[in-house]
Amino acid sequence: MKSYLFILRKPAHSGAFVQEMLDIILTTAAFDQQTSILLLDDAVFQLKKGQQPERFGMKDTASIYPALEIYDVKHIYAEVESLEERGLKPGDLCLPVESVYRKDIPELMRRHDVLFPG
Amino acid sequence: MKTAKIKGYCKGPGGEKKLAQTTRRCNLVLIVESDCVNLAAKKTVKIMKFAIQINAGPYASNAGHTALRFIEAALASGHEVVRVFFYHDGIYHGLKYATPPDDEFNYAEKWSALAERHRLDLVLCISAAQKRGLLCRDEAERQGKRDDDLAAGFRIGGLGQLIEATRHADRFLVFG
Repeated sequence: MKSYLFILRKPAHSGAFVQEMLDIILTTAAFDQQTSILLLDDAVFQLKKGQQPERFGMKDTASIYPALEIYDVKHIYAEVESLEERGLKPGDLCLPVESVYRKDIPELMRRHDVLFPG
Repeated sequence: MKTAKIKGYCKGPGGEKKLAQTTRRCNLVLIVESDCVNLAAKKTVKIMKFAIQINAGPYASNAGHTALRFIEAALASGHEVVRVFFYHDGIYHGLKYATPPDDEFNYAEKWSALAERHRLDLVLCISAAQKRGLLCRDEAERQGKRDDDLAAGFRIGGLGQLIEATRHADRFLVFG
């Protein structure tokens, strides 16, 4: 078993990109690999509360996140500075996340076998 | 990691081939007393297994071009490429009907040639490919369509094969 850290940087509705990344994350977890997610930059918007994408015929990718727990995705980290720079607080997100400061991200990355950019 | 000490394999005719066969079985190969000119260094060579993912479409960025050059360089240095997995718009690298002008880069042709030369495993993600209208013959028949879009040397596979490749590789690189 390897540990995977998915480092997401794009907001929801970046074409099919987010949906396709979530497909990889779900597959990794389904293969019993230790799977964690780090939301960086605009990716913190992926979990913003109050999205109504279905009104525009788009897929609600935020609703996939709660299902990740069933697949044993243990950690969803969000970078504190990325949230602050966008005027967001952890309470603005639709799921509880673990806050990580920018200075601690290299150490977080070092703890994982595979860093998966997306 | 396994280690293998190879002594004098490169000496004499066929030495290079014998060495290549041995390196395929091992992660780490120590080349001792090698006088093979193609091996630039008479010293310890660490053989890496690479898993590669390509996300960008062929003409959308340089990612595919860089990946091709990286893979050629890695193979030339004796490293192993476990699998090349095409995802997102990267699946268009395997579209056999791409017909660029003669003086422009033909990605599908380049990949096919590289795959044939090095027995590379080129895998297009099935869900990403189908979504974008790229179907292999079998899948097209299943969908009641007449299609056969895959360039030579490519095959269709699932995300499981990406995860499997990353599990077995020493290094995983994403282009695009």
